[in-house]
Amino acid sequence: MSRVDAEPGARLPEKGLGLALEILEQVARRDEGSTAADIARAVGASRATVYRIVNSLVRDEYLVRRADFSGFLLGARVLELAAVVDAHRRPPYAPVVEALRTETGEAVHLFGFHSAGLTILDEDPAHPLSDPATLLGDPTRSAIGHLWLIGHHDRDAPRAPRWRTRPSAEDLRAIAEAYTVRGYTEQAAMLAPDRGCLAVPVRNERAETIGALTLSTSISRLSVAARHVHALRGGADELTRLEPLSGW
Amino acid sequence: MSALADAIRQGRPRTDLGGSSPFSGLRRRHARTVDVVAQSVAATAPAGVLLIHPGALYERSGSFAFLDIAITITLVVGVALVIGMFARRVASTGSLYTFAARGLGAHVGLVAGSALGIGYLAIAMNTLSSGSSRIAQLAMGGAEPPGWLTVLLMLVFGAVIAVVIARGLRMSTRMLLVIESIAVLTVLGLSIAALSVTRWDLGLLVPDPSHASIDAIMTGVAFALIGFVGFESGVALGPETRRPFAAVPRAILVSVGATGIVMLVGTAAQLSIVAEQADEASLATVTGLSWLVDLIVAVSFLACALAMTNAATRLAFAMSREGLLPEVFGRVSRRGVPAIGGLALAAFVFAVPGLIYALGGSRQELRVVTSPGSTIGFVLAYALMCLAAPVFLARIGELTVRATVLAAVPLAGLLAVLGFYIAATASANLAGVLWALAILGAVVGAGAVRLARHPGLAARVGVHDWPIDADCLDTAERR
Repeated sequence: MSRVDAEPGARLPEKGLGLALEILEQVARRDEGSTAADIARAVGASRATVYRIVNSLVRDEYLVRRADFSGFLLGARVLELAAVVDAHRRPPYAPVVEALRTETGEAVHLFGFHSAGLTILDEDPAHPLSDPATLLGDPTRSAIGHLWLIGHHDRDAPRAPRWRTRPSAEDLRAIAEAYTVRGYTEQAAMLAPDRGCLAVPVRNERAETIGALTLSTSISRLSVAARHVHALRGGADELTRLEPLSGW
Repeated sequence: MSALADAIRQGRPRTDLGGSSPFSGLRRRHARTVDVVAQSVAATAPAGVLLIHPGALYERSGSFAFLDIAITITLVVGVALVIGMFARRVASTGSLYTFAARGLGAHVGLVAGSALGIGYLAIAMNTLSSGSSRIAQLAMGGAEPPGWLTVLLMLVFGAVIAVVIARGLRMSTRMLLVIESIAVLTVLGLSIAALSVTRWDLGLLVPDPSHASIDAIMTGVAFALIGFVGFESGVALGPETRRPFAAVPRAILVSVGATGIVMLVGTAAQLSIVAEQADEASLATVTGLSWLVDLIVAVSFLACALAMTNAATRLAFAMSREGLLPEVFGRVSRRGVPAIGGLALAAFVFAVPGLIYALGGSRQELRVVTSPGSTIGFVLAYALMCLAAPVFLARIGELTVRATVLAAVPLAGLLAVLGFYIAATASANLAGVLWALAILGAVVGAGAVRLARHPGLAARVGVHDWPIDADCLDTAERR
């Protein structure tokens, strides 16, 4: 679909998923319903191939035949393709995070918070997370986890990873006091022996913390990396103004 | 943004298709493939058929009996493939009736539907009375049972059928599955035991050219075909089945395949027994378990009566929702089942043989009419559906050469079988054939009168479980 967007004249491969998606697109374009022969003409594939695919789409209820068999309609099951549509769509936060990566020259990641843990929204493709399992399991071992512990989180994400450890009250107080002094959180060598990280909160319009931007670097540069905190905060402010963040 | 992505993002149901289907009230989309298979297999009643047919088939076709079965299976697979063409596109409790009407119009549909309905009810009456009288005989320790006992048992089993149908689809299909599986496994076990006794003499499976005659083969096929009818009845469960366009065609092919294999193995066993002991040839005598054989036949036939009544109830449901039949057949119970229609038809299936017994008749008098009635009914309905398939596909712009050939071959076979059957039966049982044709003519005539009196009715014939607003996604362009 996105390829139809990007290059209007371009043809998807004449078989399999590509053709199936193009057939769905044709049906979506013509509301009055098109016959299988119309669809075959529009997508430029052989009629036998189109009949086969159309019938398998009907079988799986992505397409529905009109009562008088004069054409096809989109079946409600097409909604299950929402993930495919969104996979092709560049999320609105992507440009903000990428600008930060270019500006700082370091690994920048974006996380979302939910009531029981973290969701990775945008991992830096050039510098992947060193230990995602620990990061997502133990809030005391990461800068982002510290932010989560300080913030208030009622967003529910049932299938997202959940914390496996609970910090003590004393740990919590220490983390909160350090944050009050610094205004951001920091972690050194707790996930990987040679890496450190700092994190600033992303808030919504009601000033609730809904996620965090993190910057990770080598231990030796961690101290000077603090000069990027201003850029990170700018990025977090920009994300606040993006309406679709509520869709995390 | 693409129109598809737009429609998905809006995620709004349509508003122009209406909020209820013609089958509203019926409990939709809850049964599974296995339920459709159970309905189809039980209606075929392979266990009962196996224990009765092969010997009778041998009497008719001699050494061509096994070949007859093989030809019949080929024909039935052909019909099943044509059913698949429709069942991938239409889900209706009217099954073959709706298919024929969709292709060839209301009047031809009416003929197909009447023929199919007569077939279902005739077999249901046959199997209910046959199963009941066998049980009565077992209860009497093998002596000829008095008529009142058979009628009493028919009443009891008829009531059980009515209750099971009213309780809901899955109740009846799961019961059918268990009963028929046990019966088939027992028959196969007996067959293998018998084959061991006769030292696997398969000589009779090879056709003897001196027996060859097209007449013998065709009447043999017609006779063997009646052992397979009912395999299509699962189609009627389409609207009640999850993903019907996937489940129903698959289930029909599975049913045909499974029944075909069972029939081939069982027939081979029985025919080899015939070879061994030509005078007293049956599984019962070879294994010495005649009570068990009788019990299996009875149970399998009673299950068949249930399945056939179930199918007839669904057919009547569709006709009632169109306005062809009284509204009572289209009424659904709290469980979403056409319970009252099922009750009425079960009562009818009991009443006809009950009346014949009450008038001093027997099962044989019943069979004089129901036997040709069921054969003509089913073969005619199958043939009309095969004729309708290419017309329907052409109408919706999806006809291919392959589909035309796939429909033409079984059509030719069915017409030949029908012709030979009527010719052969007319000389042996002319009254029965005439009665069957007269009943069919009367039903079709009554339907035609109703179609003529109510002008809007013909347009409504062929209703199916068409999509409603909630089944579809609105496209952005329309607003």
